[in-house]
Amino acid sequence: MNDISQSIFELNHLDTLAEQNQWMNRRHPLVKLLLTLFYIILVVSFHKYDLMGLLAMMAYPLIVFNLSELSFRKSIYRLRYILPLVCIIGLVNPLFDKEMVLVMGLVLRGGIISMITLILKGIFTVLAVYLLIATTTIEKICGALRLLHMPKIMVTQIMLTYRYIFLLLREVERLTTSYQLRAPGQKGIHFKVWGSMVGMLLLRSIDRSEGVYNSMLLRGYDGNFNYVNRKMAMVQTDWIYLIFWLIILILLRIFPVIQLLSGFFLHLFG
Amino acid sequence: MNLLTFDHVSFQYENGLPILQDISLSVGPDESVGLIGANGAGKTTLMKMLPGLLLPNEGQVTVADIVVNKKNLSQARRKVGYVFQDSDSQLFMATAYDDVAFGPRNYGHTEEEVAERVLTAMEQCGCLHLKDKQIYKMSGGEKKLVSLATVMAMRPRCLLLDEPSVALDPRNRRNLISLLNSLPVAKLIASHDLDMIWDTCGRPILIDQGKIIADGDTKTILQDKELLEAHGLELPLRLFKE
Amino acid sequence: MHMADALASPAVAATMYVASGVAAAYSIKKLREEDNAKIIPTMGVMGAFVFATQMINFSIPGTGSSGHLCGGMLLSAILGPYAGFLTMISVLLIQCLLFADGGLMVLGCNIWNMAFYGCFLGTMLFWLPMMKNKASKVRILLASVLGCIITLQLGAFSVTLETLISGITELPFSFFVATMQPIHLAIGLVEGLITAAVLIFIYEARPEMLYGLNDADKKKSRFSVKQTLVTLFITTTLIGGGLSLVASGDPDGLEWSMEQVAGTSELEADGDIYESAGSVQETTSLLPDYSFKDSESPLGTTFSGIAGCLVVILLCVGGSTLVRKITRKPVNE
Repeated sequence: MNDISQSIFELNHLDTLAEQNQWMNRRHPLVKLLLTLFYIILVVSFHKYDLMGLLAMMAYPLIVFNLSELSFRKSIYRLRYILPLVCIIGLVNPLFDKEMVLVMGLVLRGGIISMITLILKGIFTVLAVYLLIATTTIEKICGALRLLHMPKIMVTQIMLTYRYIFLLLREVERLTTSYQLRAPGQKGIHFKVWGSMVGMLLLRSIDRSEGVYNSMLLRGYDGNFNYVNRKMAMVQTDWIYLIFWLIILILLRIFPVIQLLSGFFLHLFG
Repeated sequence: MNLLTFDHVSFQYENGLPILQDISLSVGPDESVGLIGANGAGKTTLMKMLPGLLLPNEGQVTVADIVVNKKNLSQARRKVGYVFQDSDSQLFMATAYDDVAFGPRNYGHTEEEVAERVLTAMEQCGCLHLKDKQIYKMSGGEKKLVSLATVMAMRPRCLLLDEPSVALDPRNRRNLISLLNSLPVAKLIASHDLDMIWDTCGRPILIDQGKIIADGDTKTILQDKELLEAHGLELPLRLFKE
Repeated sequence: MHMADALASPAVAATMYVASGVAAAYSIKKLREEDNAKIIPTMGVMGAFVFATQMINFSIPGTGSSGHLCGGMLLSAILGPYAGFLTMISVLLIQCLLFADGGLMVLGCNIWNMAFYGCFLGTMLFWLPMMKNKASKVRILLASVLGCIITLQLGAFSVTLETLISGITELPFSFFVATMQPIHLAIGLVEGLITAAVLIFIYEARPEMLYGLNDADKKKSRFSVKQTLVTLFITTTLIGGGLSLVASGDPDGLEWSMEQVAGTSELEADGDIYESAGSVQETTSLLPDYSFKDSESPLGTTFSGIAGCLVVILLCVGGSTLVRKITRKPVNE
C-alpha cells in the first residue's frame, strides 16, 4: 500500500470511529474541543525539569482512551509526523544542558530530563488531538467552531475541503498508480512530468469547482451559505464531564500528585 | 401552453465554433422528452441554457413563460431542476440531508418547511434511508438518487437530467428508470443511452452538430437504424435481439 | 516544517494565533469586498487539491530522494493572496486534526510560518510585481523559485524563533539557525521548481487562470508595493513586539499558564508557591515529611515514584472502566 492509499484508509478509519454512537462520541463537540486545547496548554506549560508533574497528566489520555474504547495501538501511528522533529530537538538537550537535577531519587543530567519531558509533551498533545478527532466528526467540530463565532466563510471552506479531500485523494492515487505501473522502479514522479501531472489535476479541480459553483447557483446560492447548526444542546452530562475534567486537570497541574503518592509509599514502607 | 421553449436559438463560445445553430423546440408541461445525440452534439449546452448557465447569442429561451435572461435568472431557475452528470459536482455538502436542504434554505424557507421538503423529496426519490450518510461515503447509485432529491426538494416544474444513467450498474439504472417514471414533473433527459430513453421518454429529439435532426415519437425515431447511424448513434440494444 | 504543540509555549502560541487571526480577518474582509461568489467553491476544491497533491512524491533528479509540494505559493498564484491564505488555513487545520501533522495549539504558528509567508509575501513581493507587466515562462520560473525560497527561509526562521522564545530547546540560536536555514534552502528550491513546473503548464494551457496576469491596471490599483511593504513592516513590528514581550517576561511560558490557572491577581502574591510547583527541587521542600532527607536510599525513592505512577494508571483505568460500564447500560437497553 502506498502513502496515498494509506492516507485514504486512515481518513476513512477516523471517520468511522468518529461516527460511532459511543458515550464519548455523544459528548458536546465544543466541550471536547475546549478541553483538548486546555489540556494541551497545561501539558505544554510544565517546566522542562518537572517530569513527575507532567507524568500525572497521563491521566487524561488514559481515562479518555478507556472511555472511548479506542485502540491505543492505532493512535501511536499518528506520532510519526511530529515525533521526529521533537526528538531531534530534544536529543540535543543533554549535550547542552549539563546541570544536575534530582528526579525520583535519581540524580540525572538536566538535559536528559528535559529531553524526556519534551518527548512526553509531544506524545500527550498528539494523543489529546487524536482523542478529539476519533470521537468527533469534522462536521461537529465545524459546528463547535461556529459556536465560537468563527466566520461562516472559514467554516464553509473547511467543510468543502473535507468533502472533496476523499475525491481528490483517490484521483491522486489513480494518477500515481498508473504512473508507477508504467515507470517501475522510480521512487517518485520524474521531473519532466511534474508540471503536466499536477497541472492536469489542477485544471480538473478548477473545472470541478466550476461544476460545484453551478450546482450551488441553480439552488439559489448568492454568496451566502445558510448554515443551520444541527441542534447541539449541552446536556447535563456534558456539563458534568466538562467540570470534572477542569477540576481534575487544574488539580493535576497544581499539585505534584505522583510526588505526593511516592512520598506516601516511602513513608509507608520506609 | 408550453413549459420550455427554444425560439431560433444559436450559441457559440467567444471566438469559437458555433455549438448550437437555430434551435427551435418546445416541451409541454407533462411531457418527457429525450435529447439524444453523439458525444459533442450539443446536448449539454442546450440543457445549460434553460437555467441560464449559458445565455443564447441569438434567439430566446423561455421557461414557464419567463424569458431566460440576466434579469430573470433567479425566477427561471426556480422552475427547472438540473441534475448534473457528475454527482460529485452536484453534491457538495457533508451529509445528504444538508445537501438536499441547501436549495430550500437559500430560498428562505423556515427550518420546518425545509425539513418537510427535504423529507418528502428524499422519500420520493427513494433515498430517505441515506439522510444522515456522508456524501463521500456513498456509492454512485446512492449519489444519483440524492442528486435527484436535491433538485426535487425545490419543487421544480421540470427536471433536466444530463446523462443520468452514466456510471450506474444495471440494477441502479433500472431503479432510476422506474423512479424517473414515477416523478410527476416534466422531464428533459439528455443521453445516448437509447434504451433508457425508450423506457422513459415519449418523444426523443435527435441533435447533431448543434442542429435538430429529428423530433418525433419514440418508436419511429429509435427504430430508424439509418437515421441513428448517420448521426453517431446505434439502435437501442433491445432491438438488436429481435 | 509543521510545528508540534510540544515545541512552543502557550504564550508564543497565543501570540501567533492572534497574528494569524488578524491576517485571516483581513483576508475575509478583502474577499467580501471583492464579492466574488464563485471564490467559495473554488477555495473548497482547491484546498482539497493542495491536500491531495502534498502526498505526491516528486523525485529530485540526480539525488534519489524526493520532494513535496507545500502549496501556499501555488494556491495564491491561482486564487490570489487572500483566498489562497484562507484556503491554506483550512488545509492546515484538517492536517492537524486528521493526521496529527502540526499541533492544535500551535496552529497559529503553523499558519503564520507556512501560509502567511507563502501566500502574502510570495504573491505580493514576487508573483504580482513580476507578472504585472509581462508574463513569460522565465518570469514564472523566477518568481516561483525566488518566492518559495524566500518564504520558506522566513518560515524556517520563524520556527526557530518561536521554539527558542518558548524556551523549548537548549540549542544555541546560531546553531539552530545554521541547521534550519540550509535545509530549507534546499526544500525551497525543490518546491519552487515544482511550483514553477505546474504554473508554467497552466500558463501554456489556460493562462487566464493565473492570478494577476491579464488585468495589470486593475491590480495595480489594488496592490502597491509600497503599501504592501508598509503593512508588512507594521505587522512584523507588532508581532516582534509581542514575541519579545513574551520572551523577556517569561522564557518558559510557565508563569503565563500559571496565571491562567491561578487568576491574575493571585499570581504576584503566591508567585513563589506556584513556581515551586513547577520546579522539582523546590517542590520536594514543600513536602518536608516525604522529602529526600533519607537520601541514603535513593532506590527506595525511585521505586516509590514508580509505584506512584502505577497508582495513577490503575486509578485512571479502573475508574474509567467503571464509568464505562455504568454509562453503557442505558445504551444497551
